[in-house]
Amino acid sequence: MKRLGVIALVIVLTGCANSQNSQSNTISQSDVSAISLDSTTPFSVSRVVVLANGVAEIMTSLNARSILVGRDISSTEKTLESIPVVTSGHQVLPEKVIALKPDLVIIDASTGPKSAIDQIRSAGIKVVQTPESWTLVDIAIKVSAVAEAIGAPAQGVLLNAAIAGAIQSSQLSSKPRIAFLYLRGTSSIYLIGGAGSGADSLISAIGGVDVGAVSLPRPFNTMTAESLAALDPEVIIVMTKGLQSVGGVSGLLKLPGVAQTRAGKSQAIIDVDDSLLLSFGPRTPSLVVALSQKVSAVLK
Amino acid sequence: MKKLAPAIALLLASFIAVYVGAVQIDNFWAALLSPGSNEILWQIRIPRVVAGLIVGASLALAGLMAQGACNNALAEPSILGTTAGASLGTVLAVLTGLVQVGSVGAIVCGALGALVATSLTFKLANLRSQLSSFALIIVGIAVSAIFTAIVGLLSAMVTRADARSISFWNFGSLALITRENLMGITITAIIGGAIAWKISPSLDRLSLGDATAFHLGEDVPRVRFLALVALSLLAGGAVSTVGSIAFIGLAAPHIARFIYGPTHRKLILHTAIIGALLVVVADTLSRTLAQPGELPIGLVTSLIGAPVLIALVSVKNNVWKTQ
Repeated sequence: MKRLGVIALVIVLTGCANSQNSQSNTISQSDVSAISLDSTTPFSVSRVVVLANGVAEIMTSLNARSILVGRDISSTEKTLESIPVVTSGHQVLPEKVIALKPDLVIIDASTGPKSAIDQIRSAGIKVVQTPESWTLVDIAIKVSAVAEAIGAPAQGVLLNAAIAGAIQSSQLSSKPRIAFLYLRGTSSIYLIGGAGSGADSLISAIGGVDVGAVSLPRPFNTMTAESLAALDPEVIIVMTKGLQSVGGVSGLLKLPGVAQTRAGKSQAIIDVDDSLLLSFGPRTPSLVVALSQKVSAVLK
Repeated sequence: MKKLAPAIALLLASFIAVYVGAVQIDNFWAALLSPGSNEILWQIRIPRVVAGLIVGASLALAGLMAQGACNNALAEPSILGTTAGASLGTVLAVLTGLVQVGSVGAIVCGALGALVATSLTFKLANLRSQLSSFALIIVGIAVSAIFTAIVGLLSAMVTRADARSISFWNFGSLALITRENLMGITITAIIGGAIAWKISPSLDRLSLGDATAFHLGEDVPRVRFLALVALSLLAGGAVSTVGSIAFIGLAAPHIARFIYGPTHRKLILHTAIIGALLVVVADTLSRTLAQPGELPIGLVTSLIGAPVLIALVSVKNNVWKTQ
């Protein structure tokens, strides 16, 4: 049984912290906060390198930042800036990892290349693979796996309870029709999120209807002008850099099909920080609240 | 009946293109007969089909001008560097921030790029001797490769959405067409088509060889220059708006020659109809075969155009000798 200190759940739901962005409909990292535990507990490891998307954030929320010695490039939170990055792009650099002398490296299915992971294992370093999280349901599984890996399962239980409690209170009564668009204008990639995109679970959590998830066959579907116009969402959610890549809201409205939707006509476009939207971790409850408030605001 | 077949097929293909799509239009006939009543039909689908018609006709006529000006059966906008020049001209103009893809400004820059690249091909091919067909094709491929590479480099180095992607410039797409884009390509198609119509008798004489054409009273450099201007306007307008769509400029004039013979004035209209038919059919297939996604239209035009051309050559392999 782990000794638990005083637990303080720091839940700062700053969806209302949009005073800076009341016109822009942007949800940035500063608009949300992570749920964190203030308890202390001994860990079974002392030097951890995380190479799995979102795990550094979970480590911080488990109050295990002190044992974090290296991270991947996708961990962009301000509190992690001082931790060395051991990846080049999304490629793991084994020399950098081994030089940090970790006793645990956490990876997921996307971590690569495989040869780099094999080299780390060959150096006698324990490597644990945690599951990826693509929906709200996955958060608890991932948090438990990370907590287990660092020898603090009770912390995982507490964090999961806090996250689950926070997610339950953001249901919109109007059931707005919402579409998630994944945009990379510089590569001419325009996709509509469907069932399993991740955004569908966020939209469900705020009481909205993901119009792509209802009628499109894949998690991400080619966005054709006609299919988007036929879905006719009232609100469109995009990633911030994705929106920038098509030239902002005005550029998005020029894409065929967007202007024909109710969202396009009323410019009900919400953009969310790229690393935040589908992170599915301790910041997600705060994101759900912020998203719920933004959707209400753009529908007024 | 055989001679009317392409026109009838074009009418049918256009109707099917307007009828089918990612979305089934409710009360189709009522929506079709009431302009503006259905947003998907009137703001998305019909503009796209109209763009396909204009772009197809433009690219086909551009091919006819290329073949006529060079007196070379293999000449077409992408082989002469015209297409790559249009892409580069447009990308450079867009990167200055002064124009947007699909605007009249972008079309002008695309046409200028096309003219510069094609002129460069002619100049380099003509360096050592009289313009030879072989040198023209080889130099054209080289110029095209250089311009395409620069477009690729710019696309990779400058991450601007409005510069579009390298796949757009290489394979083309009608997916981003809006009603506002139709004006520019209509203007270039009309001007380019008018020049083509005007010089078509001269192109007939040019097909007999430069010396013979000269002795028949033709100002060969002038005719060739006008053909290049028409080629640049037609290809520049199309490419700067929808990217490069392969094979239309090569296949459409040859199919037209097979059916209607070598006289250029006859070929102007029929080549345009066949080019429009090929693009409209290819675009309909590209947006319906892989629903809810789309296939690149450049792949579809090659898959349709190449077998047709091979079949024509097999049936009547002296089609080009009639010139």
